[in-house]
Amino acid sequence: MTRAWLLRRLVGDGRRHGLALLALALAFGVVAFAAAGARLVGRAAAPPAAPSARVIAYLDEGVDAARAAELERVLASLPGVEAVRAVSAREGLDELRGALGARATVLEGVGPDLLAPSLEVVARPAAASALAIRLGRLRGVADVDLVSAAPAPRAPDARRPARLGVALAGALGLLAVVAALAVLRARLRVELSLWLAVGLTRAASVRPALWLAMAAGVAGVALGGVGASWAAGAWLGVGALPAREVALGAAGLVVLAFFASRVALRIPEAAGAA
Amino acid sequence: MVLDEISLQVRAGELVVVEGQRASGKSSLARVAAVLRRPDAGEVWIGERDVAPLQDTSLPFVRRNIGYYSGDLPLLPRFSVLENVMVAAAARGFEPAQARELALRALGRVGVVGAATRAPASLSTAERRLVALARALAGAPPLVIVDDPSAHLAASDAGAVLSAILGVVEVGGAALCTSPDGAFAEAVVRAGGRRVRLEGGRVLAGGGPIGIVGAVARRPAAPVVRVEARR
Repeated sequence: MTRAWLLRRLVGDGRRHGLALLALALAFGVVAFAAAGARLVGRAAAPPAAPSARVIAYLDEGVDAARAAELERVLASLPGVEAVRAVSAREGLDELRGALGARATVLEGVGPDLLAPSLEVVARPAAASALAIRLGRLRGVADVDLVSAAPAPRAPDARRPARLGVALAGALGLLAVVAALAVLRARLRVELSLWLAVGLTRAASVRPALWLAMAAGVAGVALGGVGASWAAGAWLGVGALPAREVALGAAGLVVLAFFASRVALRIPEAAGAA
Repeated sequence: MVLDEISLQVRAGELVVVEGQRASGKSSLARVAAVLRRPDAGEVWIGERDVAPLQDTSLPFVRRNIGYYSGDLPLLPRFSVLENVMVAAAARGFEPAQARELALRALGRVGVVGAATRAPASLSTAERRLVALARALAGAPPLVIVDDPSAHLAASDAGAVLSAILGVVEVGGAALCTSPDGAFAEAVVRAGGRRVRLEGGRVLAGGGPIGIVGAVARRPAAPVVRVEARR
């Protein structure tokens, strides 16, 4: 089958099965709306990120500046570590004075080496405990103090109705996709059987319908994604999803559209004999 | 499969009509010869190749050289009559403009060119059959297989059908017809065709295993189609 025929069939099939293709696009739109909506509602309902935890490693008295710098470098490369700062004995004393405020008079007369030099590590809360244990085992570390961040109180999920709505839309969308593909298959079945009987390969028989179904799927996915973004912004006050997430989600749905269409339009070779 | 120990050849430039009652295996034979159905055992030669063992993916390339007509193959309801005939030429690789010309010529050959722009739903049963036959003839395939062409047709239309099939034979093609209609088979023989009787899936020929009645060979040529099917 030549390109001219392919184009002719694309235009003809698009015209003849326009309603079924429109229904398919809308069905994929609902699925995409639900998928993007689920992510957006999840973002809106997510608890605020917990603050970072602090781990303070007090160094042995005999640790020289070179060893302290090496430890600082090693710690900075560990997973979960966000920042490392070397705190000298004097800096430590000054910070303690600052923290005590008016009661800093209790420190009058103490020497600058009251406190041991330390390394102050800012880490992710989830990694802080493991990090503290690992720090305690390092040579040159005398003591470890974990100032862990309290977990944020779990707010009641105010987005529950939205979640339910999105799940319902997703289920209905998938059902609509199956129904629209079944209608398209029923409308095309005789035609595809005939193409097979007159000598077209199965791939060539199905190609225009598959492309049209794919185009409908892509249009639907784009429409649904844009609709979900708009709805989330208007109703939930949530900004757009990151571009990478949008691209991955859309690609996944397009792949779904392709395979669903391919399965639905698979006409057995024997149908040519019908 | 209803066919049993059948052996049949149709040569280039030859018209063979297989005559038999209902359920005698005529349609099965036509489908096997048109490569739309595989025999349980045996060989089906199209030109110089046994197509029975070919994979499914190769069969379309054989089918596009065969014009197949059967009342079971409907016209596409959302296509015009002309487009219905053009699809066969399209499958045979003709560009749309050529396919249109060939389709109009095929419609003219069976006498329904006036219906080219109409929708199949507006045609009578006889007209629909003639259009389906035109679809089988479009693009002058080297082998034409026509299953019961005279069904639901008036005698004059059946004459037009036979004339169109003879047109294929005259340009060197091979034609295999099946028909339960003795009058049609008689007309084929009068026109120079060969008649084969089929009963219970077997070819009858005065008690012999291969029955070819009134064989006519216009010119020596390799068989275009040879079917040897066993149960």
